Amino acid sequence: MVNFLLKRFAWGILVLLLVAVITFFLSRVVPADPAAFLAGQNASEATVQKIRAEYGLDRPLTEQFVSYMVGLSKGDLGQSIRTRRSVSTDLAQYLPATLELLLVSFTIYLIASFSLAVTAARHPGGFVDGAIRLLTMVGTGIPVFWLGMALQFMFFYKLHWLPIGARFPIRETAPPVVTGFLIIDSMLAGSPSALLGTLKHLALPALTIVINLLAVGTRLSRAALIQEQSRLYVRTARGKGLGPRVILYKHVLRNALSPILTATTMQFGYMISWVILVEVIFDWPGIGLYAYQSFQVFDYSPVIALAIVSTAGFVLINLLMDILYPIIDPRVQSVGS
Amino acid sequence: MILSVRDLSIGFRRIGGDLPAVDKISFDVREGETFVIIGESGSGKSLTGMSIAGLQPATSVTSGSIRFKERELLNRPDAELRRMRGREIGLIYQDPLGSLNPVWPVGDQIAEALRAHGLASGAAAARRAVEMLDRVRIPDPARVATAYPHEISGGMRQRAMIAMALIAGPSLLIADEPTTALDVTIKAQMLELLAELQREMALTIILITHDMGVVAEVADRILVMYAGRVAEIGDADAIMRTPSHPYTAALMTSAMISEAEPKQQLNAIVGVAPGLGSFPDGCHFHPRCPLAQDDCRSFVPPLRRLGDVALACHHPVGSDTALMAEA
Amino acid sequence: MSAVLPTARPRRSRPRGVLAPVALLVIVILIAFALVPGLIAPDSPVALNMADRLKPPSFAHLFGTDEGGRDIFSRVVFGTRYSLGVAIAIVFASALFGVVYGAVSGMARGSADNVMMRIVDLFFGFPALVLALAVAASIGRGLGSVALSLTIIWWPGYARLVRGEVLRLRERPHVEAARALGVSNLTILRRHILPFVAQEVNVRVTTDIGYALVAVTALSFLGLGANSPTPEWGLLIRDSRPYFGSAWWYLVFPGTMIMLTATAFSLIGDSLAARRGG
Repeated sequence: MVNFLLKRFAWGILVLLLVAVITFFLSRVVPADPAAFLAGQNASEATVQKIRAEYGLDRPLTEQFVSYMVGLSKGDLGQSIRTRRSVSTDLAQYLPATLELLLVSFTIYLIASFSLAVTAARHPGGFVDGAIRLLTMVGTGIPVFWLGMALQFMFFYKLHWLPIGARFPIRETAPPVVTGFLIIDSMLAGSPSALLGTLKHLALPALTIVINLLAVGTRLSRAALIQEQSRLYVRTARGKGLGPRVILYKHVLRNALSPILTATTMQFGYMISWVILVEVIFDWPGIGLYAYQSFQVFDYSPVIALAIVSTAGFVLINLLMDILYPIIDPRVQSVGS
Repeated sequence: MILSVRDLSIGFRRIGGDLPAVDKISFDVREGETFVIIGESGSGKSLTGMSIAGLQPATSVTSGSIRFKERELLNRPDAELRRMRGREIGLIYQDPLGSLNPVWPVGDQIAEALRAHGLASGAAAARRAVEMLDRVRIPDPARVATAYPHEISGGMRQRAMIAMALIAGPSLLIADEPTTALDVTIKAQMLELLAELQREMALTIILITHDMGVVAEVADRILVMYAGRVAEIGDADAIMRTPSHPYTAALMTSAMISEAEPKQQLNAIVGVAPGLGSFPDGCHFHPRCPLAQDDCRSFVPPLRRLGDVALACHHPVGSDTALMAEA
Repeated sequence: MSAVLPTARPRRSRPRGVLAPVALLVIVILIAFALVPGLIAPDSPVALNMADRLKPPSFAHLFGTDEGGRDIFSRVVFGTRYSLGVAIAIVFASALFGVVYGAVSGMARGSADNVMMRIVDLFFGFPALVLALAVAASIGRGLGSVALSLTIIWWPGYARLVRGEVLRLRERPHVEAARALGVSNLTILRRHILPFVAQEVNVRVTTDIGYALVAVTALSFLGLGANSPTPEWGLLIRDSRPYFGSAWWYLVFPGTMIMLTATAFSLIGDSLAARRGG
């Protein structure tokens, strides 16, 4: 088992390396010149040269690559030309915002999809079941950016209930940064108004992600549950006099958990990849928006950093699932070791 | 009489008319006996067995009467039947691996039958599960109780299933093809175990099988089913000695052949049993019957007494000596 | 097991039977949009008309007008060939490459197959959108770079599907018989395996066109794809951002088109799968 996990871990490192290499080369074969962009339109050639030298852009590509990889092994993700800070410093500032959004959305999604799937499985063909099928059918075709804007239209422009974007009310002072998670920080600061402001700003981006995930995920959970319900052990459970509730929660759910978990992992990977869109729409100051804004001015170190961080996130989630599977399904253990 | 089944019919709802699977069968099971229902797949034997415990598929429709200890069971609400399952009627099935939940330890699943009926809880239930595993002759029962179903052998799994079925002390055990998935030696051990438990616990057993060999070993009385109907019913010895229904006779012949040459998958009955929805007119067996005549094709034979047995046949074996010699 | 659980085959739910023809009709209309937009659209998709800027839907302008006074319906019609065209190109290119790759991998088996599938696994771990950013960074923004980056992340799905099918079909008696007779691998592939694989791939391609469309418009929305004033659907929604608070039609109609198109393709994919008996 440990052996198996080590193998998976090594594989994850390999994937990360490859992502770093590919994004590095892709971003350096660029026709545009970030130094010229940064220097401004009226800058002299000498100024541009100076900036190039400052960021090492005048050196040969292989040399740049070697120094980048050496830096990477020390956890140095390079310099951002736009913010004039090290990318690691920037990430430390922006990552908590992204994580907070992802964690909140994913938690809500898990609870919602679970309860919906269970209700649908308990009454196949019922109202919730039908609603899920409809949501799935239309929902998979809804572009996430359009959904976000539609929610903005409704809750900001029409109803004036929720802010259109950002992470915290502009006119108010944010609680002192402790964890970087505003929900926690405002609780630590003991400020209910800060917490309310945080939650209000979080509501729309989180809702966008949750709806998008529900459209795909609930169908998978429902299918897994309904399939498990037709297994022979369900008849055995009935045969010893168990009620439908115990059968569903103790027997069926436990077995449906591994297919649901697999689907969930895929969903999480999918979500990491598309969080950029949500951050752009809601002006959410996370790493997606950071990389996107840097990308706009040909500043590519943050883009590579985003690639590495999001791949690392994906690899970690997969590793976590590999650890969880044998706990959920005892049959996996004997296969894994 | 512990169980009385009268005119039991089971069908499946389809657009354009229900599909009959079991057609007005009646039988009685006596206290303490081993009653065997034998038939090929599609004969409705398992469906009949399952319906006694109310475990027929939800898509089926049933009519008639099933009286267990003077109480009507058919079409009772599931919540009422639930209190009886495990407590008064135990069940074991053909595929012990599939029938056990793969993610819970065996002992836990056995103890669950006690907890479901409030007979014991927590550690007491767990302890009784281990005792029950010991009673079904499982060596090292404490270890097996903590094992998962995939970690123990096929024979052990079926023993664990028996422990689960009997732990809450039912008086009737319905065993649906309990030996089919097992090899010959284990099969014999299992039948022996059932017989011993029957004596110890004063059990009535309904054994459902397609295997004539099993019948010969344990049956007190037999019900032969064919395509949803009773072909022959009565005392096991009488039927085994002189089968009167051509179908029973054919089953016995094929059993003898397969015993003589176990490798040979020879079937003494020509053709295959009809599937659901394609039952022929008249006597359901007539297309495959060597003794069939014109009346068999048009008229359903009524069940009538013939000595120690009752059978549904217009032209029983032995009523025509020439044909009997041929068969 | 004998008659315990009869094979109660669930009947296909009613709505799908009605929806499939509707979906087909939607697709036919889309194809018309893509092929002869000039015959359908009442106005030019690019010519400015400042007098009519941001007008709500009316008989003259079915979907209203944008900030340049352009007819949004006309822009949507003309945009079909960009959005849907690129989506179809991505899926076809991915399917083509994936089928070849998967077939080679499945027929080769052994260590070659192993290595080839490991490579596929690598691509699955790749963050799609970031790759698109990087590709757009290196070859420049435009629908071409969108097509390229999405193809790079799309083909592995086909490779995996086809390889699985090939491995499964290889074990079929008629294929084994053909091999025993000395029929070459290539002939076996062409005559006994690919025709069956094709059915699976057809279903997948149809469903994927909808998903690819959503992905294409997402990248355009981020400004990685077409440049204004190309009437690409995702770009329309991007352009609507400063105005949609007061001009709902600017947001609603292009988005609805994307949704309708994606749903239509996935419904057709579903009914293809059902017809195949899946």
